[in-house]
Amino acid sequence: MTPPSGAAPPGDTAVLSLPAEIENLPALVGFVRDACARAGADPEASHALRLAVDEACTNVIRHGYRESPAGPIEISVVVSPGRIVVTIDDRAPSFSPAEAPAPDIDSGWNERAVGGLGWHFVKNVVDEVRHEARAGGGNRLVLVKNLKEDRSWKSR
Amino acid sequence: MEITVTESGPVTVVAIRGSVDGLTAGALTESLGTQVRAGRVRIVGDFAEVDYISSAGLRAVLGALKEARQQGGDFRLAAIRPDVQRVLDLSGFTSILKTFADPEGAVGSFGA
Repeated sequence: MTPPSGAAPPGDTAVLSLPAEIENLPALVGFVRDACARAGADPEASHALRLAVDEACTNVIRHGYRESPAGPIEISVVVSPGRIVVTIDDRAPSFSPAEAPAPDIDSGWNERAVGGLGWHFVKNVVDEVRHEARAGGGNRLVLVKNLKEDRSWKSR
Repeated sequence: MEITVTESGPVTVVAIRGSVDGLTAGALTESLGTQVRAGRVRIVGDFAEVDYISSAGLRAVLGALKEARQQGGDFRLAAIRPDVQRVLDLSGFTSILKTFADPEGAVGSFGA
């Protein structure tokens, strides 16, 4: 695989670019899990980012490129003291999480539907979600997760 | 994800191991649907070894729940881990699902 174009990542940044196909979901999610492990992220933060990245990438794969051939998904992970920032870039038609349908979280079992839950999870498990349209087309989704300050469980 | 199906009297216990996500939810839907179509509509999902669930996995759970209940049965979950419980709580599924601390309790609940 050729490295992604753009500035060479500094030491605390990792970048992965793959075609937006469902078979690549484990690699995309695994990339972020590995970064969390290397950063010594607490289990809650690791799970939150796994879920948020899974749901966001699944949406790009299933819906984002729905009317066009699957383009790329590029993920970058930047670890800094106290937080992890994951950026997910695509070239799909613009879609903001703010446009996602409200999830149904309280109707009875017979009426219940799952639509909208993915974005609901993304918005609820990370500390900050930012969306911007990219110049030239596509979306940039930025997910920020604050880490617990107490990392004394880590081996020193 | 691995699925192991065992029968406990009239109750079917479906033990799931691994992650229930966009890649594996289809297999879970298939497995649970097979039980319901065979008339085995009292189903316990043993989640002791489920380390992760996403909205795609919840879709499979909800589908099984609806099918089983529409035929007079139910799909009840047992031994849910904290990460999975958190997702169930966020989704509001805890208000429509019956959950139990262990599979034995879930199996027994059908006898009442």
